[in-house]
Amino acid sequence: MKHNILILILVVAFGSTAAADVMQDFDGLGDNRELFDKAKALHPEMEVTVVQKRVVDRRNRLETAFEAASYLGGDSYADTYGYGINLHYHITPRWSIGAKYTYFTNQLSKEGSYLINDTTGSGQGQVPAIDYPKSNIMGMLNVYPFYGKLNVFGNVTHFDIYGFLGGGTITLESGGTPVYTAGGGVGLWWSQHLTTRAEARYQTYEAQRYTGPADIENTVISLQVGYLL
Amino acid sequence: MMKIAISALILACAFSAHAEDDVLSILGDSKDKKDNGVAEDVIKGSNVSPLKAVFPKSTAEQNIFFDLLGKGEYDKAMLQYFEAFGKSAIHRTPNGQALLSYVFLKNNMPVFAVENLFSNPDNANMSTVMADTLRGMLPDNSEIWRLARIQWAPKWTSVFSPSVEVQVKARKVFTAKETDELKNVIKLSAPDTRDRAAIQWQLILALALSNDSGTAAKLLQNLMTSKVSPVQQDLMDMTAARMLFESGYMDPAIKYYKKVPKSSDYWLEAQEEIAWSYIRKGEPQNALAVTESLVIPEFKNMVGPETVFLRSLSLLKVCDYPGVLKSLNTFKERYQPRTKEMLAVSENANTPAVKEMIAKMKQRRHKLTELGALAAKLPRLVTRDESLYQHIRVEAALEKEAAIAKEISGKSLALGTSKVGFQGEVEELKNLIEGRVTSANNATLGRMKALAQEEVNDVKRLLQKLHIVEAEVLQQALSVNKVTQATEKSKVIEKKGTTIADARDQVTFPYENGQMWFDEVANLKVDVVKGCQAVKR
Repeated sequence: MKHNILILILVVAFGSTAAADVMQDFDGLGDNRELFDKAKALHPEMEVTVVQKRVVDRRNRLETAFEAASYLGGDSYADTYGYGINLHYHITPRWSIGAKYTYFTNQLSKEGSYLINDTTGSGQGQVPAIDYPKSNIMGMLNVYPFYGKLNVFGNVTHFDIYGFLGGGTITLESGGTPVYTAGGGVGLWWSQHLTTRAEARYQTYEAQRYTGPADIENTVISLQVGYLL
Repeated sequence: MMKIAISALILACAFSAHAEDDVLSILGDSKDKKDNGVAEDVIKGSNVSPLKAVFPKSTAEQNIFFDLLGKGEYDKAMLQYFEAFGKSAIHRTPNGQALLSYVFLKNNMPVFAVENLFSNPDNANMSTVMADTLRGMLPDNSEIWRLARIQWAPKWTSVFSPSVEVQVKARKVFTAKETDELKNVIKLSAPDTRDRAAIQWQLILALALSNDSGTAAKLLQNLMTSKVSPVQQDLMDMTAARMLFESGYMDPAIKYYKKVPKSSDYWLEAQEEIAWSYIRKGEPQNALAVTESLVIPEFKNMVGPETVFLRSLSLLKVCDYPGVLKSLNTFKERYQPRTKEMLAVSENANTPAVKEMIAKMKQRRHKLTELGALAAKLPRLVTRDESLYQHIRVEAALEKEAAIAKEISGKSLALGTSKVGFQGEVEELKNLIEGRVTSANNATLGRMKALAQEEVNDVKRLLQKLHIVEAEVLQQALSVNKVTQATEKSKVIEKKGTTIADARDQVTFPYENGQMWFDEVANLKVDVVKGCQAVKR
């Protein structure tokens, strides 16, 4: 019995010692702060950066996108909206080329209606000179110099801020005429396939008025929803 | 003479009828028996189980038992078994034990049945009828062979098929010295089966541990193409990477480590081993990039102490002494309280956290990340340890079977008994069942204690290494003047990070110390300029 008790005491004592040993080993770890600082001359310069692959691959990929746009400025007697389809061929994540086709809808603005209905002067309303746009087709060149990412409900989504130039033909009531555009936008790449773009651009072309040609300058605000093939 | 025989028969029938009536009344089924005339049935033998032939000299209680078996009243038969055989010598014989296993099987208690049967290798000497019956109830493809704790003895080869032998042996953990035995078992297994793949996996590990990486790699390559692989792809990739690492092929090893997905429980370990590969390649800046992600507070319960040691070593190699100090303190802050916790578990594993974890794992296998805050109080390898998971599965299965047994014994209590001693038999069954469940629970807790102790030992080993790192820093600090003089006019050495292999289509974001988005984990690049040099730029 005594023998057993002795063994038990030894086991308990040994067990406690082993536990105490490991806990004691923590003491004193990293306590020599002064000496650690002494060798400052040898400290390295260290730069840490986050380097990631793009979540959505945009190399050699074709994007098709439907677009709805509001045309501001230009002819004040007409409210113009455009509905179109865009093709973007992404050569690299930084460059893409594309084509844009837009179909326009037009209606008289409040000013236009007022002018027609206003008979206070000559006793007859005036018909404003409006050269409605019907459709246009343009070639586009996009460059994506800036990128970032968003935390959207716990999912990380990359985006690009881009600029573009474009040119083509716009078909007006009076016939076809060259059109030029330049602008910028934000492209959000939600998944390997789903994309959205919000754009603002300047667009100019020459329309025909009663008095002769007139430059039309629009500010176009548009939203595109696309699919990356 | 004829008269004597008839009298004996009448007496025997009367006695038998009385005995059966008595027991069946206890079992709550006396009315039918009286109406049907049990004694007559026994005489005719119409309801008697064919297994009775194995026990020709049976007593009345045993006859009742076989009658219950014959009628398919297995729950009652289970209770009657102890009444009939419990105190007889038959109970300890191979046939007696096989019969008990048979009754367990009939009551949907396969773990008890199989573990009871295999508890003594001599049970393999059971009669042919008994063996045939059990074989029929325990087919080769039964899940039980992958669940019950079985010690295979050569005698069992004559009872069960080689497939069963392979399945049972595949679950044993072989050591590196047992490659010959594994090769023998693999010969027994059929090609393209899960059993062969399981043995092949064990052989791969054994060969790798016995430094036959060449053969192990060939077998692993073969297993990776198998459709019946017993292990997940992530573990196979880890194993391939480890073999390459051991053989000194660092770049291919890193490639395989990187195949382990972030969703895997092995991912953190793969990252740590990637960092080791970089250290062995002489690229501490890359090891720093990898470990920077691993030491974030979110991973503190998942990342092993070796990662912090590895980071300290990498920082030492680029002479970032404040970094080393910070790393040593991180080790202390994280692993001192954790070690205290693990010491407690290694002494008594029956803690609330362990109980909660076991309860969760009984439902399904969890990943460490799924355990949440619970992980802080559990050994780090708790979700990956096959042995522990096996114990938990067995415990869960035994608990279910114990519930069946409890229900059966409960029925007997509910129906009442007038027979003295019958409850004793119920108690015997309950004790047997509870003993097995307790033993399974002890095995689970024992494994948990072992895992906690392993973690404590690991910390102790690394603490010693960290003290060496600290001593080295002090040594270098004391000789700083010499190094400064030797290096102040030297050419600046730049160590550019190369952790991101594919340079195309990358995006770069600034990294503020400690501020890391979750998608940025393991996507860091560290450039070190003039480490261990006193040169001014």
